[in-house]
Amino acid sequence: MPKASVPKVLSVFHFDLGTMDILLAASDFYAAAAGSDCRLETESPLGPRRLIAKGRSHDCVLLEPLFDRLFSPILPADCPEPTAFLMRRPEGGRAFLAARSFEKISLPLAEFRLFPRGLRARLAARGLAALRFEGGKRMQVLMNLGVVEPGAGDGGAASRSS
Amino acid sequence: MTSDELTKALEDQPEEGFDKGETRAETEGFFIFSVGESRYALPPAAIREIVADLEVFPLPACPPYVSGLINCHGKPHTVFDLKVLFENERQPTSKFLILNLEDDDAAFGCTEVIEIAEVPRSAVSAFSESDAENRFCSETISLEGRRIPVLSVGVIRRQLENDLA
Repeated sequence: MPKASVPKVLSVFHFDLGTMDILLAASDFYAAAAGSDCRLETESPLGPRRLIAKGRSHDCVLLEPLFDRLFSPILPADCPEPTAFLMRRPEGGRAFLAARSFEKISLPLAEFRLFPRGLRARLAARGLAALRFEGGKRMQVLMNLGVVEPGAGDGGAASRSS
Repeated sequence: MTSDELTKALEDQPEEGFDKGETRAETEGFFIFSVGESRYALPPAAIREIVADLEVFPLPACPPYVSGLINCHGKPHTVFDLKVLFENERQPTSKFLILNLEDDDAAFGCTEVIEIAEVPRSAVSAFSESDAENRFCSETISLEGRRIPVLSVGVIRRQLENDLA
């Protein structure tokens, strides 16, 4: 069977946090939904939140507290209309609610780098998968949200392993 | 040379070993640099390159002595702040010593490159194992009336490994 060819560009959602950028690989998600088409529920005041979108219920991670915890200080969220990114996972769907404006862009795959080996496992466990230096001067972190679990209380930011 | 001949040759050598008497250098080179007011030494072979004026990008979830990443020729390198490691104080630096590592990319922040000094062997001494303050150093050298610790890159990297485990 012939090997699938590796694409030369990576399609990502780009979030500007101020001093650095977050990139989410577009192919990590099967759909996005406008916040107005979703409903956020909390089973208990301290429990993880669930997002009802497209007729389905998903465990939900709020991206702003996650970004703030990892990369503080960051620019305040600027988007009145949140967007839910939906991820398909074997153990059940997951939604990631972004309250920050973003754009979808394509970046050359060859410009992405792994983190230095000594830090790689620790950062990967927190969802930091790879990086890119925009113009050599600005760090852009590609996040793998698949390892981020909804946390109690703040709606997200607990990683699968500590 | 047969094993018998080797044994004989070894027996004829002074106690410290086969070739030490003939080839051991009288002096040893050390790369001397400063971080803030403190001076440190490294074997010159431990350093691949010195770079300057690079931005340090902070990283989450790292010990305080990892100040972040630098972009060195397009490759991210972990930056160690030795001042935090030794004195628990931050020391922003504008120079970086890129370490010569086979399996990782890392750098020490550095305030000033002082010199590469040829130090007589008699001026190099080992730390005692109980010297907890200098656990990141392999030995010390005496140079112009100063005692300068020689950093052990391996021990510093092991500390990071342990802290991230």
